[in-house]
Amino acid sequence: MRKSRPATGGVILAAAVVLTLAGGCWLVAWNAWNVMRLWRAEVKLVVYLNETATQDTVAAVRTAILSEPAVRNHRLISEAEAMTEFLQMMQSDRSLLEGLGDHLFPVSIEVWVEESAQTPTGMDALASKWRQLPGVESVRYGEALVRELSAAARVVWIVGTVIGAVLAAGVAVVVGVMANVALRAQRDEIALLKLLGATDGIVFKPFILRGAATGGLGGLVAAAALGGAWWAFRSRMTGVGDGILNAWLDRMVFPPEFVVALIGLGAMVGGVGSVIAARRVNRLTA
Amino acid sequence: MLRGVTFRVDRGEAVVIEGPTGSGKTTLLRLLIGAEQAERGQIFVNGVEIRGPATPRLAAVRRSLGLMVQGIPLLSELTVADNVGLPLKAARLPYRDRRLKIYEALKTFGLEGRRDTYPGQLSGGEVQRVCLARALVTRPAVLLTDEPTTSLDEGTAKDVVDILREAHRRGLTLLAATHTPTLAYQLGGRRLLLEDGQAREGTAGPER
Repeated sequence: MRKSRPATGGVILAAAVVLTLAGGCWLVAWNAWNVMRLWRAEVKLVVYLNETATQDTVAAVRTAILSEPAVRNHRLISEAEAMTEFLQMMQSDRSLLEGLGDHLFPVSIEVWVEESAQTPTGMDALASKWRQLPGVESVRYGEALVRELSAAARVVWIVGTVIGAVLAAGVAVVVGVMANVALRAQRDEIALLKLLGATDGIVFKPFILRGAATGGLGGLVAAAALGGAWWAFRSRMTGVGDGILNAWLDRMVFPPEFVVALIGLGAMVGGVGSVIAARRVNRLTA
Repeated sequence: MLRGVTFRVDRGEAVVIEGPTGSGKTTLLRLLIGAEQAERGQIFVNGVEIRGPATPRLAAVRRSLGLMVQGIPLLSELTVADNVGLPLKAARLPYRDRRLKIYEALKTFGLEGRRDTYPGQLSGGEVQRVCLARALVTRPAVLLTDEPTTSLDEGTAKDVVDILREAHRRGLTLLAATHTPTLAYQLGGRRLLLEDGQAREGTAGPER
């Protein structure tokens, strides 16, 4: 089968542009989702014990908390530790608390849970369960923050996936159109080959392989473009922002699997586009 | 339209289908390769019924035939070598083997110097020789040929007939359609006369 190098180059470029946009969407969505996931992981449940809780009661509550498989980590904070932390936070001394009573800061247990339990439902279930334990005064966590982070992560994921999927379908269309043009240009040769005994596999396999290769190359170019843009962005932003921005940037990544995924996706949608084009031309030459 | 045409060709036989223009000779050959479908009746080639859409079995039958039939022209955008190599490509022969067989076929038909030429640059005789080279490049057991000597000058027509006779002498089953009685006599073998869509056995050509 004859091929036109400039036309193939143009299609690789077009596929690369669309895949870069799709990949960019996914990269942003993935990082946003990942950052939200990390933020959510920092959310903790705080179990406050009442003033009358004895050492035994605290130990029993601790044991009950640790018996939960969803518990990843915990920290017991005594009254004295709680007061010290408060004063450090307020940048003040004990005089600030004079006259406010003896048990101003209850004993508490901070609990971090596994990712599977970091949902509004999961956190609610644990909080409700621990509130029933003897000696527990209350259980608090950032309910609103957990809900908002979960909702935002879901929205980012869905929007990123939808936009990326639409753009990926665009790659299939671009490669499919190229395959269709190539197949129609060689319609006489295809019809002749079939009369001479070529099976559909013999006739169409080269077109499908070429479509997959074109899509794959488009994915490689897109990965290189995105990698370059990522590197430039990180180089420019390093040291520019404040602590929060830098911490946020530190958590953003360009995973190597992403390169493989873009190439694989390009090859797959390129192949699919070519198969669709081949089926249409096959009907015309049957 | 062809009606009630019944005939059988045995291995190694030469049959010339003879009839005036429009008598259905080309249609008959196209029916034999499944390029057209008969409304009624049965057609068997190498024991395989030729009917319905292209199947792997029909494709295998087609690959076993050498075709020099109207409607299977040389492709103007391919070189002579590429045109000759099409049946080898259809047979999925590896590229290196294809090149070797193309070279052999071009040499046999005196076309070595024309391998990179396009069909539009060939004379009528050369076109016929390329068509024959393409039809015989896979060394098929059966050759279907349609008007192999039409519009050729006398010398070239004789060359083509010599090639066909030689191939037949080596065991090729030959089915040739022509509107000129001369070819039947030149090739010898059995004559099948087509007229008004019906076929009858004619007198045999002279022994070769």
